[in-house]
Amino acid sequence: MIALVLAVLVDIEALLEASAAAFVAGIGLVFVFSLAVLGAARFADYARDRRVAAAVLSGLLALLGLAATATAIVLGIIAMAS
Amino acid sequence: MSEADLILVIVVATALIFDFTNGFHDTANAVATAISTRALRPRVAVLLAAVLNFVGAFISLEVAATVASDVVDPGAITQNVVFAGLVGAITWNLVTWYFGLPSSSSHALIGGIVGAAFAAAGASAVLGEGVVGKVLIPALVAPLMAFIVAGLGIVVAYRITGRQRPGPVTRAYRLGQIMSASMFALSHGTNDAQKTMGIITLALIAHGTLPEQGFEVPFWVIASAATAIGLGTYMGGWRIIRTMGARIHKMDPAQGFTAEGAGSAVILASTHFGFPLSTTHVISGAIMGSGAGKRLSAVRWGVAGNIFAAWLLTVPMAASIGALAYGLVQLFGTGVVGPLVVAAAGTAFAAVAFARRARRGAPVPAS
Repeated sequence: MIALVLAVLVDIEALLEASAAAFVAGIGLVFVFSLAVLGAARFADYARDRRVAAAVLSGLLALLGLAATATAIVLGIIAMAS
Repeated sequence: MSEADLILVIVVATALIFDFTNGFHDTANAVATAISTRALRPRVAVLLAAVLNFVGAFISLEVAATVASDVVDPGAITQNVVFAGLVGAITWNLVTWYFGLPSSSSHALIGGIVGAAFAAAGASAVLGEGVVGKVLIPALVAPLMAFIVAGLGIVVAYRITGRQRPGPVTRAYRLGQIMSASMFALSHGTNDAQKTMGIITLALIAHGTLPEQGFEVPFWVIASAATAIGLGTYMGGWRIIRTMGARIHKMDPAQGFTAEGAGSAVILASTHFGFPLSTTHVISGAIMGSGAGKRLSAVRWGVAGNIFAAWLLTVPMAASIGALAYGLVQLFGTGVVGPLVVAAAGTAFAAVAFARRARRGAPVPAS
C-alpha cells in the first residue's frame, strides 16, 4: 500500500534516471581521474629510471585520463543547464 | 509606496538575508574537505566557492520553478506567509549554526514555508504530492546515493592507485580536489541559490507582480540571489567547516576528491530533474561513504548520528517556527507592522546568538 502511494506521488522514472546518472557520472569521474593519477605517478617513476617507452605510455595514460575528466565535467554542466 | 509594496520589500530583503545565511552556513559543503586535506588554503577555498556559487546560480532554473509552484499552492500564499516561512528557516539555520551542526538550509526553507502556509490556509495550501515526491523522497535517496557512489568510488580509486608511491598520488589528488571542490561549489550554486529565487518568485506572485501560471523568474531576482549566496559563502561558516572537514572522519586527498566528485554528480543530476535536495545532506553522505569505503570504523558514527538527528528535526522544527512566526505576524493584522516587529525580534535573536558565540571564542580554525 505504501509502495503504491509512493508510486503515485513520486516521479519514479525521473528519480531512477537521476540516480543512474549520478552513479555513472560519480564513479566514472573517480575512475578516469584515478587513471590520470596512476599515469602521472608511473610517469614520474619511469622517467626517473630512464625507461622512456614506459614513461611515454604512462604520460599518455595521464593525459587521456585528464582529458576524460575534463570532458565528464563539461558534459555534466551541459546536461544540468539543458 | 503602498503597504503591500513595503511588505514585498521586507520579504525580498528577508529572502536575501536567508540566501546569505545559506551561503554562510553551507560554505562547508564545498570547501571543507579541500581545506582539511590541505588541497586549498582556507581563504582561497572560500573565495573560489563564493565565485562559483555566484556563477552556478545563473545556470539553471528548474529548482526555482519547483519551489515556486510544486510545494505550496501559489494561489493560497500571501506575502506574510512567505515572510513567516523565511523567519522559520533563518531561525533554524542560526540555531544549527550555533551548535555547529550541518543541517539543511533547503529543508529549513521548505519546512518554514510549509509550516507558515499550513498555519495560514490549512492543509489544502500544502501540495502533499510535491512535498513528498519532489522534496522528501529525493531527500532520503540523495544522501544514500552519495554514500554509495562515494563508497564505491573510493574502492575504485584505491584499487587503481593503491600500489603507487603515496607522495605523488597524494599531490595529484590534492590537485584533483581543486577541481572537485569547484564542481561542488558550482552545483551548490545551481541548487541552493534557486530555492531563494523560488521564494522571491512566490512573494512576487502573492504581491500580484507575477501571474500564478506561466511566470518567469525575473533577472533581478536571479542576480540578487546569486550575489547574496556568493557573499554569504565568502563570509564563511568555519564552525561547520570543522565538523564537515575533520570530525566525521580524518580524510586523505583521495577520499576528499571522491566525496566531492560523488556529491557533485548527485546534485547536478538532481538539479537537471528539478529536485530541490539538500547539498548538506549529499556531501555528508558522500563524506561518510568515502570513509566507510575505506574502513567502516573510520567514520565517527557518533558525530554522524548528531548530524542525522539534525536532518530529521529540520523540516518539523522549521515548519513549527514558521507557523509560530505567522501567528505572531497576524497578531498585528495584515499590514506592515507584523513583519516589522518579527523582523526586529529576529534581528535581536541573531545578534544575541552571534554575541554569545563570539564570547565563547572565535570558531575560526583558519591557518
